[in-house]
Amino acid sequence: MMRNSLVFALLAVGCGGSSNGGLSPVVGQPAVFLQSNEKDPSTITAPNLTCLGESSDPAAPTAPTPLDLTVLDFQDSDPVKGATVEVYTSLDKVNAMTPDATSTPTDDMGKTSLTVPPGSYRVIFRTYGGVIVKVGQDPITTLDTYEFNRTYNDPNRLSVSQKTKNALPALVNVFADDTQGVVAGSLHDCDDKEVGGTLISLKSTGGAVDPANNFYFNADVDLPSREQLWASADGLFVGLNLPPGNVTLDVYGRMSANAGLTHLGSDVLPVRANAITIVQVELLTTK
Amino acid sequence: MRSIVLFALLCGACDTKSSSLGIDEIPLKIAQRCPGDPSCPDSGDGKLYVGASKRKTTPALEPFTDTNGNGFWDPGEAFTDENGNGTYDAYWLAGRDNALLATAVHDDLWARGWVVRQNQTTIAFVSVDLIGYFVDDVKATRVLLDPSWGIDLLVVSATHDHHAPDPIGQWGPDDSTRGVNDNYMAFLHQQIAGVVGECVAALKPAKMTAGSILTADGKDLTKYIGDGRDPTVIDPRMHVLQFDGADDGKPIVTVVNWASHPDSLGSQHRMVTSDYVNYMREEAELGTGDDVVFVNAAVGGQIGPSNVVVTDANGMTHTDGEHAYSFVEPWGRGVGDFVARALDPTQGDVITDAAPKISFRTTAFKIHVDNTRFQAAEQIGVFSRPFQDFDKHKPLIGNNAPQTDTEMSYIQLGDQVSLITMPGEIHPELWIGGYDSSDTYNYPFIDSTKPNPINLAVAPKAPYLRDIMDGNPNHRMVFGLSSDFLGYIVADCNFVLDPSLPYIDDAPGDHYEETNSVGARAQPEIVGTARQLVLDGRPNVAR
Repeated sequence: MMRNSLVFALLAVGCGGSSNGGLSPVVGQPAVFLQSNEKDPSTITAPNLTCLGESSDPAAPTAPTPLDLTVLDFQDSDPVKGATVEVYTSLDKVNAMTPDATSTPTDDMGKTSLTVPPGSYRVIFRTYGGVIVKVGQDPITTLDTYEFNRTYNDPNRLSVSQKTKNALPALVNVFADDTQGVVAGSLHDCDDKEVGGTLISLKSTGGAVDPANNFYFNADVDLPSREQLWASADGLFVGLNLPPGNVTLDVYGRMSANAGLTHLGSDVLPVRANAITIVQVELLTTK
Repeated sequence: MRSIVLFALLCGACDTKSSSLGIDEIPLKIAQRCPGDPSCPDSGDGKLYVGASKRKTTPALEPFTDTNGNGFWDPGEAFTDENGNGTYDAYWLAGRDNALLATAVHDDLWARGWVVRQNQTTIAFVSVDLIGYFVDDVKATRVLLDPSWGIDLLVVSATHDHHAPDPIGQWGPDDSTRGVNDNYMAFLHQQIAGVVGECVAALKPAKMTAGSILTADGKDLTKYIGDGRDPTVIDPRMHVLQFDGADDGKPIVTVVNWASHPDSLGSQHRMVTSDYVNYMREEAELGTGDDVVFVNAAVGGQIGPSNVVVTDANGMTHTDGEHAYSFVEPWGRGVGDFVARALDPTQGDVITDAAPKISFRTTAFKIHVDNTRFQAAEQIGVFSRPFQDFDKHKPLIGNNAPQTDTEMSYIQLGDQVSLITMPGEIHPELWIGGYDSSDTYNYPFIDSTKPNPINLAVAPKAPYLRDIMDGNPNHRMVFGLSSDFLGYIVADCNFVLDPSLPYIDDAPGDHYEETNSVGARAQPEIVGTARQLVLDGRPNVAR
């Protein structure tokens, strides 16, 4: 019966050695890769990792930056109405809830604006309080959505609905616990492309993290899959039911087939109850 | 109405001995036995009383001016507020794709019922033109039954209509939005309860005639039924119960039990209709002189119109692929023609029983929901039925998969006629067997070019469910989609999930039904319970 293989798949996700954040390569895990067409293996290429160990960010802005924002639903890209967007230039400010800038609520098309202060090339956006309005339906509530490590002038904001937050765990047989948080994201190479073949490790200041709740998306259908044991072509991973706190995310991958795991990326992220943190992980700036 | 809950509690310790349980089978607990339970005595005149009634359940669609021509009502577009609630009420058609907004009514939908009473035992049956009817709705309907009606058991069956409003939730405007119109469901509860009340008011002494016939031309099923999934196993037997006044001989009601999907109009069709059932009932009623109640049977594995070819009154042939009434009407009328034939002793197997002894036993139990899509649907409110008995901190798999309540009943109408209610779409091979290719009729058994074929080496052995039931083998029925809607009930020897996206993608080959099933445990948990319910402690042998 299939149930047995599901159990083994679950165990395989969580079984690893003590090195590399407790992770070991998974049987069959390929070297890290890019794949421009998830349905076409011939489009697989090697990622550009030449900047690993070096800072690749441009200089931070030296003047305030007016920014016109559009907030869209993560799942269906519908406009999110009534959402407020905040900008934070550090994790400490997120923890203190002292934003550097705050928008007015978005209009019916999900539009609003704010001014980003100078001094940070990468910032944290928080979007909250919006609703998704669909024809003939009750307004759909959205969650606090943190976007970590975004470039300061990125105008496109994401908002995740309560439905999406609950549905994605269920698709991998996990109960969505509203007292816990979620981290989702992908590792980007030096050309800002999503890297496949990676594994993640998560630790939280809020308590123990169950590695069995880490999953990877199946790029064919853009959904997490219990059978997907490493990041696929879209590079997407998700950590479910994480204790609220500051969560350390580490990303590992094989540099070549049959190699051990190499530490490729790391971030410390804000995770909040019944909220989702979306992170674009950059390659490590120090090896 | 006697207290089913009370009996469930009292019987907590009265498990049937079940030393021969298979893997994942659930020890049987009889919730209600009638007559036999202390509150269900069996004294009186011993006569059979039957009453029948029907009510329309057609939704009051709200016409609108589709100014932008997108096929949906948008804010600002004028509409007729039929129920006066100030908002546009959408009715989403259930059974095929999402976002199929009902835009017109082709033919009325119905709740059609019949009640049988003998001494202190009273059973109400109502069949509704719907895709399915959750057990929670059955319970909500039971609450509306007046205790003075004395109903011991209400069985609600769905005809499995694929062009009726969504009563389940999963066919809304998108796959994450509940598609149920709650006002319509409240209306349904009232109409079904009302039908029961009218049936009780119409009770009169009756006699029963049972007929059955194969809807086939010899071994040829081409005009009537196809099977869209390997292996081909079809039970084309139509069962007919006709109740007439014992004193005046006047017809009271005719019940037809036959298996086929009412799903021949495709996803482009936006009109409310009961599909072939409408024409089948109409045609049958020309001969019966009373109302016909249709109850679907073992429709799982795509027993339905695929490969069916019919000829209309003008001699034109039509196929299911037309997705049009030009096919549906002659198909339904052709099937309806068998109702009279089933009751004709020169063609059908006919028995009469002036005072059949009626009895039933019921079990209420919990089954696991392994299907991740169903788990998601419950978590985001697409389904309203509760999933329970799991540790939310552990993966919802194996023994920690959520469970949900369901129920089944085994009913005998005299010593020759028996029926079992089935809370979903049971595949025919779990009902009659057929793993030896003896029930393929004119169709091939297995297409060997398809991947993931059935593993016949581990197929269940006889006796099958029908074999162990009581009475004449030609008068044993399965009332499919009755008192719950748990999706397909697939044989576990033929249950294959997509290895990458189980329950989301179909596995290669004929394996769509798995994605709309509770999981591989449906066979042991549901069919295994049915087997125990029928046996009730007796040996597992054909009879």
